[in-house]
Amino acid sequence: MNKKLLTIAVSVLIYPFFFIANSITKTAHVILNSPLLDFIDGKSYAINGKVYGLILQVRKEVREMLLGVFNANGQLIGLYLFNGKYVSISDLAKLEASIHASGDEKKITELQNLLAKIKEDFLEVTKGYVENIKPFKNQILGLLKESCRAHNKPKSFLLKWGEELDGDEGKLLREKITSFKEFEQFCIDLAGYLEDMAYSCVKAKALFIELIKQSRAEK
Amino acid sequence: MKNIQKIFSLFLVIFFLTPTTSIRCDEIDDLENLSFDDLLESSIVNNILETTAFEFQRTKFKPEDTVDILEDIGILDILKQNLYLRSNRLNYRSVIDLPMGMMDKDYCYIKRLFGMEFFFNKMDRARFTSESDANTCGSDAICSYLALTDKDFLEALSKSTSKSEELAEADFDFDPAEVFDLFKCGTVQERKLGVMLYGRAGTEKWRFTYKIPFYYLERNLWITEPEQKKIEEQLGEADPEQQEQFQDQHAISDKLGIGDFRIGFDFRLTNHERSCSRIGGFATVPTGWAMIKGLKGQHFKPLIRSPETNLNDLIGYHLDAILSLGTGTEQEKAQAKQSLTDLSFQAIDHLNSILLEAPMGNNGHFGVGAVLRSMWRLDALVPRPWAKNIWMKGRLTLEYLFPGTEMRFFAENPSPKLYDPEFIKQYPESENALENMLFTEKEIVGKLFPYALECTVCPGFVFCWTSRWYHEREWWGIYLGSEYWMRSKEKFSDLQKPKFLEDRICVERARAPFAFQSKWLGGLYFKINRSNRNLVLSLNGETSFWNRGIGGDYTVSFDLEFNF
Repeated sequence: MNKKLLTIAVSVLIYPFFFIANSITKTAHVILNSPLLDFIDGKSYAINGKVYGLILQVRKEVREMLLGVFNANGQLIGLYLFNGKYVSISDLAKLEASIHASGDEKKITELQNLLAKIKEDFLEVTKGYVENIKPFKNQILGLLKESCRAHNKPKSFLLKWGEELDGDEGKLLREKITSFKEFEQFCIDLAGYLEDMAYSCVKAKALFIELIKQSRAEK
Repeated sequence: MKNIQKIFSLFLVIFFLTPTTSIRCDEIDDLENLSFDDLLESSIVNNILETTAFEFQRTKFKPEDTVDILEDIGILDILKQNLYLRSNRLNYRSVIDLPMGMMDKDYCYIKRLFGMEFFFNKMDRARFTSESDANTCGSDAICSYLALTDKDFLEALSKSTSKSEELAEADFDFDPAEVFDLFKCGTVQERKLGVMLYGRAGTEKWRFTYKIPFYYLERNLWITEPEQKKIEEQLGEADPEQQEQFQDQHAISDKLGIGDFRIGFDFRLTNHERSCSRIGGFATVPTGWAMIKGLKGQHFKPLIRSPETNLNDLIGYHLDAILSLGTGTEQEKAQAKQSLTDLSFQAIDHLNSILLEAPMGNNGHFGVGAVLRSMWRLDALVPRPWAKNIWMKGRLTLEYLFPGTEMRFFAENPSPKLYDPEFIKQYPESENALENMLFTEKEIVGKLFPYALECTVCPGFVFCWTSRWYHEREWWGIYLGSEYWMRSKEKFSDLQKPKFLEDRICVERARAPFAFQSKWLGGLYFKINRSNRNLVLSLNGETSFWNRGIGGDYTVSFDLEFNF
């Protein structure tokens, strides 16, 4: 009986945490209507199974930076050590205001250094994807706009990032994002856009599943 | 009670945990049935994402990619249209048919005559077709030959451009209708500069005549100055050096040589004080030969075989240009760009080989004809002293040009496959990709390069009627007159067409139309008389005032005629 009660209690306690964690990053998926997607979805030279995998991979890694990863106990653990604790970007965004308010220069510096490090990690994580989409800058910007419009985020930093795709988008990120709050929102928007892309590319999804099957069959 | 607790506990666990925890999808076959959210949470997928390094390696386009793109940008609708509305060679008048070397003084003491007429002839605007086949721009505009203003063709191109713009999320600032509109009035000009040598010998009853021209012949593509300015305003000013280079290499064809040789005879039919008439025959020997070709411009050879194009590369290049895709290496892109440029120039040069390559004579056709000459003095009708100085001279010729083997160009009609719903349905399917890509490539090449095939060409008849009024005084004279010239529509036989073209080529569009030209003639001449010989120097001019199927032209000439 105690075990059952414990299970129920844990479930009830965990639920709000998971719910909040998911609601931060999960938004309703949007089907992008750009004719470009009809054109490139499922094409070997554009969004094929591998590219679809790449999209999901980047989305996954960005979300892990944002929220953390599940440990063996099913708890979300952040990827970054701050103040002796493993925290995520979302955790840091929440802590940020209070740290600044405390006026603790050491912690503020530590926080800034961590932000710089996380930005470099982000650039590393998204490097492969960004290099691949650079030649499609105009088209990607169109898709980013559509995604931001659908999610009612017309002033998202994601759009500025998209405009700089053929330039130095890394520099833009380093210079213009100065807080975890901004970085959290950028990561949420990027993950949302990648989900919209993945949600809209039905043919590429089928190719990705086919790729998984092949991979399994080879093993 | 315990059971109720168990069920309730289980319900709570399911209720609270289900929305947030990963779907443990261990069966790979289930992946296709998962919702998108479940797929993202699937352990199989996450496992793959964690263990696989996904990367996008660009490779050369596969045939399935190519046909896919082509289908997307509406190539099938474009292929249903004809680029070449006609593919006939332009009608021309052989130089020996021009009203030259015809002073024909016919003084009673003349036994021999030799003349040299230096001439310059220019056709400002060639006619590409007969008036009835021409569109609203007129038969002297290139758009009556190429579908530059064809509504369906432009619509198909515009749709394709719009589709590409949509895909590129960009405004190309390119409207095919607008661009073609700039060139629609382009035309072909022709110039001839040379000397006609002619002569006559014989008795009063029998005479033998001959003439042969040596001349420089040039044809070029041409647009008027206002049109040029409009093009520069719209498309940007070209570098003058490059412009001249383009003109020399792709817009001018010229040659220097001799024309056909005409020999004839006539004998006196009637002879009175105030009138005489002669009847005779003549033959045109096809001696026309260009000794030098491409002096300023080029000699354009028709492309007998298809150009060495690789549509795959070209589409790869197009796509790169249109959609800003970074496909291929820089070297490959440069090669594709070069390939596209070469194809464009080859297409222009092929068009030039049809339009700009004119023969020096009747293109190898031997001709025989009959001639009737008449001459009467006005005082036969008007018994006044002044009427004694006025002569009317007429010349009527009818020549038959014998059939001969020539190269003619035949545009392909759209393939029936393009109207087959089954074919259209299976077009983008990958299993037919290679076959369909080759089909598309062949169709595009067929559109740009009408087939050059040998056939027996029967030019038919050439009729000419010239009449002139002469007012002649002791040492000078003037004349005015008119001329009507016509040539029948050519016919083909023994067309050597490959089997695959059996029903695809349009013979009618390849036939040069019926040509008609009427001219005003005039001249002023001076005589240097001696007892038994004289020299006539004359300045002559003629200009056409009514043409069909052939461009209007004018000629100015200076003639030296020795009668002895």
